[in-house]
Amino acid sequence: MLIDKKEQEIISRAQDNPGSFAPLYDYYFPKIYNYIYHRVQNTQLAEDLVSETFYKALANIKKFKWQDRSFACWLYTIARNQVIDQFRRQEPLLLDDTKDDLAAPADDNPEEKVLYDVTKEELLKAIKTLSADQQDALLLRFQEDLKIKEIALVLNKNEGAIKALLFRGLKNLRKKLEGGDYNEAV
Amino acid sequence: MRPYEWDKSIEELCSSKEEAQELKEVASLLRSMPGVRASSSFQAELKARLMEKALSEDMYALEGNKKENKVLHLMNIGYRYGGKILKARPLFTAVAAVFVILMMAVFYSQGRVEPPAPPQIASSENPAKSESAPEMLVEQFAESGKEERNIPPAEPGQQESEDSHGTGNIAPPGDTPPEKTTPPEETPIKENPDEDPTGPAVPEVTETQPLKSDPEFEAWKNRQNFVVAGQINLPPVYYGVERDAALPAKRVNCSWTPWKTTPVSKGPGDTVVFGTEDWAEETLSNNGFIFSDGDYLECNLQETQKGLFAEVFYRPQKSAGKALTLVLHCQEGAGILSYYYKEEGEAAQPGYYPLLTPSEAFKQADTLQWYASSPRLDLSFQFQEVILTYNDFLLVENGRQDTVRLPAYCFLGREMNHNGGQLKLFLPAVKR
Repeated sequence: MLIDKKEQEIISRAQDNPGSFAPLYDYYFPKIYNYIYHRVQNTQLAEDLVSETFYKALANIKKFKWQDRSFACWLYTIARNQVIDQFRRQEPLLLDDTKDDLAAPADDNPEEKVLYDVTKEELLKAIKTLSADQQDALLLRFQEDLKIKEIALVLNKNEGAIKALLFRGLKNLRKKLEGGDYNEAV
Repeated sequence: MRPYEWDKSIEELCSSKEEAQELKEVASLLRSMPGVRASSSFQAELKARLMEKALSEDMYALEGNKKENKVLHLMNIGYRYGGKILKARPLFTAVAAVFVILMMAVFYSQGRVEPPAPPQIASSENPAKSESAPEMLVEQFAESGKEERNIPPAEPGQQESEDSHGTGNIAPPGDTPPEKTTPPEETPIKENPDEDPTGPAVPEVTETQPLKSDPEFEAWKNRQNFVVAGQINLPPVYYGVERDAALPAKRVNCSWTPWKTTPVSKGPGDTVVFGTEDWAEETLSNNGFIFSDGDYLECNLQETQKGLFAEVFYRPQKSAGKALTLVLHCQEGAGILSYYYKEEGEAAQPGYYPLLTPSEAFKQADTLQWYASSPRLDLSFQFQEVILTYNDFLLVENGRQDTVRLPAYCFLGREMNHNGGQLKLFLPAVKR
């Protein structure tokens, strides 16, 4: 996260003049993309949702207040809402053996072919079998590096509930990885 | 990235040290999972689009949207409330108007107001009506009387032209009072009195006109109907496969679930005001017609005894094919009543033709034949956007085939089970 004071200044400038949104975008784009991609596991969809997230953030930046949450929390909340809306609009993405979904980003970005090993593939498949809240909690904690308190704000739950989500999520993930059973929803 | 710290608090939930260790391993695995990077072109492109949007006037206006909507909302309430008062108290309104006219006539005949200078001179020499108030008061009154009585409903431009040519048609001042006492119902009423800034008093009389019992839509004035002789044969759909290698796909599922948008400038409890452009944009978008900046939109509101009605004309600026003008007839509280489109002569006689709703048209997708690379492939398509355009369809009549150009809904969707590939589906929109 940006240093709070500096970030506050940047946000204030962006609130006065949306044209100054660029530094926030540059800083948060990789994080938001990473989070959304791991949630939907589809490049095209991720790009659409990332676009929507930043459009909404830009349109509403004047409404953002430093009262109870950081800008990062606010942005992740918008991103998460986009993901939820997307899943509401569509049937759940079904996993199959063709690996199309997981192969998609490698096709779009040759650099990722190197990074994309089997372990990650299995891990992604296993993550996808978890409940939406467990996925959110695990990704925000271990991929996006948010604190439990911050995750609680994004998911609109108390800290105890987040700890329980993390605990159950890790446990289920372990079970899935050990059993190799990725297609059964938890 | 700040250094990762294992959450000790999670350990409290573990039943043993072994379990805690296992979870810690999984956490490390998650932690070490490399992040996904977007393509730099996408990142740059999105940034450019955002900055363009940020610098546009629309973005600056977003903050003001809510206030503007509140003003519109108040205006709407005022309009409706005023209408209800007039409906409920027509006699009161008529009496009040006649009283005002009589009072003016009495003042005039008793010479409390000086007769004005000849109107022609006053008009040509001094078009600024703020000077010599008493004289101009009478002159304005006389002018408005002239417009009430002598000018048939005319185009705004025409009226302006007559005003600028002087006031030769105005009756002499002495003749004016008796005419002012004419009962309002005998007075020809202007079509649009609100547009006349010089007639503040008399237009109130026009408010006594009873509301129409039914709406009068523009599309009804030149309504046409399609007569398609024969049967339309929808072409098969090939998804992700060449025709030579295609196999019939049996496990195909299609659904039409238009986007439901919630304008970001509004809070969860806010609703848009019926008949405003915001409302029209939201209505269109929620029915799959995604409104974008630059699209043509006209929204005509009318009040009747049955409530408020709106006729919406919409044509997207950018479209895959030729975009047609969609016409929606809506009623407050009832939503969209009917769909029409404006034909300009390319596929049929000019006029307004009734259309199927997108949902009705989409039912034709059930009859489509699908082809894919494998018959066992489960394909699930979700369509969320629609555009009204032309498409050529195969018409079969008595064994003879012909191509016919018809208005069609172009549904835009995605395959949801595999790779999210996009698909356009053209289905006839015409109501036969």
